[in-house]
Amino acid sequence: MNAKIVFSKTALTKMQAIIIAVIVVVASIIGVAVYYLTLPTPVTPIKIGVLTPLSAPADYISGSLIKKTAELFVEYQNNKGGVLGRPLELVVADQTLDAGTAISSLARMVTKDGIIGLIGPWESSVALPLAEATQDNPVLMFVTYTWADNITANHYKYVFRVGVANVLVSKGTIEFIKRAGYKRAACICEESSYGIGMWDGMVKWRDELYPELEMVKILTPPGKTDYTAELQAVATMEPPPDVIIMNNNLPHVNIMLKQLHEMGLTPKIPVVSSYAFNLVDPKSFWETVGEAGIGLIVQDYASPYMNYTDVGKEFLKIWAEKVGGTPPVWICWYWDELRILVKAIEDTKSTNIDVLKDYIENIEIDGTTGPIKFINDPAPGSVLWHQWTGFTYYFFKLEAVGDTTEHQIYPPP
Amino acid sequence: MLGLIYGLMSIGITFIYGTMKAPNFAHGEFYMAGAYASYFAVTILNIPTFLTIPVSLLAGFALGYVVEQFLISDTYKKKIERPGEYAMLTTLGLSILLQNMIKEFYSPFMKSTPPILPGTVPFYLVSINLDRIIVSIISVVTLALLFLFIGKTKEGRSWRAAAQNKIGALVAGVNIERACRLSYGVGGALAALAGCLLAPLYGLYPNMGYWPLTISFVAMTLGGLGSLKGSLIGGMIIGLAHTFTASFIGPSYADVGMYAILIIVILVKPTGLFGRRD
Repeated sequence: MNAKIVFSKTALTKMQAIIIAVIVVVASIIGVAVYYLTLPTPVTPIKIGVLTPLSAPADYISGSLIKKTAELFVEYQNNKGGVLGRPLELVVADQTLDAGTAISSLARMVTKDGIIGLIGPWESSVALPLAEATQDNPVLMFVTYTWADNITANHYKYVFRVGVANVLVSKGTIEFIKRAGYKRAACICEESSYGIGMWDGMVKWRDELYPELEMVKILTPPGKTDYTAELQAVATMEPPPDVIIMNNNLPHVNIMLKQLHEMGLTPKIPVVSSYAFNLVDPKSFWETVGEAGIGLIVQDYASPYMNYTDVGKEFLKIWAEKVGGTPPVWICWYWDELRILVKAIEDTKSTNIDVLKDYIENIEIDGTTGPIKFINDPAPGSVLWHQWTGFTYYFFKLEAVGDTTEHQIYPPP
Repeated sequence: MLGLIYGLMSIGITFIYGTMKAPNFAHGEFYMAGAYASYFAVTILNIPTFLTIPVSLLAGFALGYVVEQFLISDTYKKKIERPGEYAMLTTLGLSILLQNMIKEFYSPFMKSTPPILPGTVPFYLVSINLDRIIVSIISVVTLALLFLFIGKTKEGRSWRAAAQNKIGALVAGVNIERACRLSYGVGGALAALAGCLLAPLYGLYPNMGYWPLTISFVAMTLGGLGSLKGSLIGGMIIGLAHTFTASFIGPSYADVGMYAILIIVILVKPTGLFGRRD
């Protein structure tokens, strides 16, 4: 009874309790509201896709360099405050060697992640179906060292190339052959989009630039290891060729070079390769071919004597600091493509890809190796559609074991 | 000469198929293991390529033995329902694993070992590498020794018994597990020998086993599944088909010639040239 009296004296009245409860609830609501109202407004990032080979058997070494470039660019741009005040964000996926897998990844990146630009598609057998897929999954797609003509010749709405194409590379090869005065060429071509594309390009440019040149096509299946039969066809050509042009890819092109030497065809007949396969890993190249590599002439798009622009020098410095060494030239071109995308967004203040596409078609920007501007020839089948052509051909001769780009023979350094 | 090289590539896979009656899709990687064993021996021990042959043989034997012990032996112990499919998928998976291990832990780029015998000899309009002659001679000697071993020794006869009828061999006192394990090891060693001998000619790289595997299967099917003699002759026919098709029709049809002969032989004699119906 005493306890009840004490309780009634100290306890709150019912009204007081209600008031306190109301105050607590209102204060909580105000507190939460103030907290959320004072939070910074969330900024939606601008997403860029990197769809590139990241696992074997695809060329994951090149893919990892492409991914690294994109990471460096995002870091560089975000340190500058992002784009239109929004941060850049990467969405990365493994292209693999299967076009179906790559297209599924592209669809997911476009519909779920909302990317507006894509870099990295490699190897034409996958890059070409991906370019086709951008018609159903609209995204700005950029390629560099994917040589298939149809990447641009098919006139895809959203696909751009800051890099080389078979038909453009073959022009350089024919110009060099003409300059060197060769009259009869044995052209060994891998049965792939690269090898066949190079042959078609060389025939086109031969007819236009050097009709006196006689060319004999020798096809080789990709992945073969013994070229005895193919090289016998070269050896028994009558009259014999005065130059051998190789349009073959790694790793088997090394074996072919070695077997040319073993059969006594080189150094008697000079060999020109439309692809500087020796520069991918010079140590392995020389270890594999040894003396058979001496005399080889290779075509490439970078030279120790070339001048990088200020943009290029800045990128090379970033690369040297963060990765080390000098990147291949096509990595510089990926840097350019990312800059093109960002400049388009900043200048148009839009992330609408049709607006960006229209802007990029007419963009003029300083690239790492020179000015970049796309040619947009509307003629059906023209490779010069969304295609940059500002690269230079360089030819190097390997004069001693261990050589890389020491002896530039064209253009004269 | 090309035929003998193809024959050397296909002996090992035929040997394994003959005993196990199950395809080995990792055979190309046994070949790769032999080439890399030789390469590492050359670079680390600084010895001539010829002296690395025992190293490669040992590496191939060990790999085959271990694979049989841990992955394949279930196929004849009857612990699984579809042993053929099991062996096929297991070895296919092993093949991918081994290729990627080399790429990941060593290098994806092509390497090479120094020639066994440097130099060339002139022949008609071209020169022939002395290594090709050496490889051909070693192929013939290896085959002769293998046939002698299988035909004349007790161990060899027990392997043949296991290949022909496992239950019958078991009743006759043959240790089936031992015979299978050693056969797989020898098959691996033969593939590794081919890899070691051909590395100076064709170089070495992680997926170097693909082409020999294809050639081996064609040679084995052409000669008759499981027939060593058939495999050798199959390899020689393929080599000749390649050379003649390339010379008289065109190099790009060389593979067509090989497959055309295979198709004709299979149509006329479905068991292959020397194969027998089980």
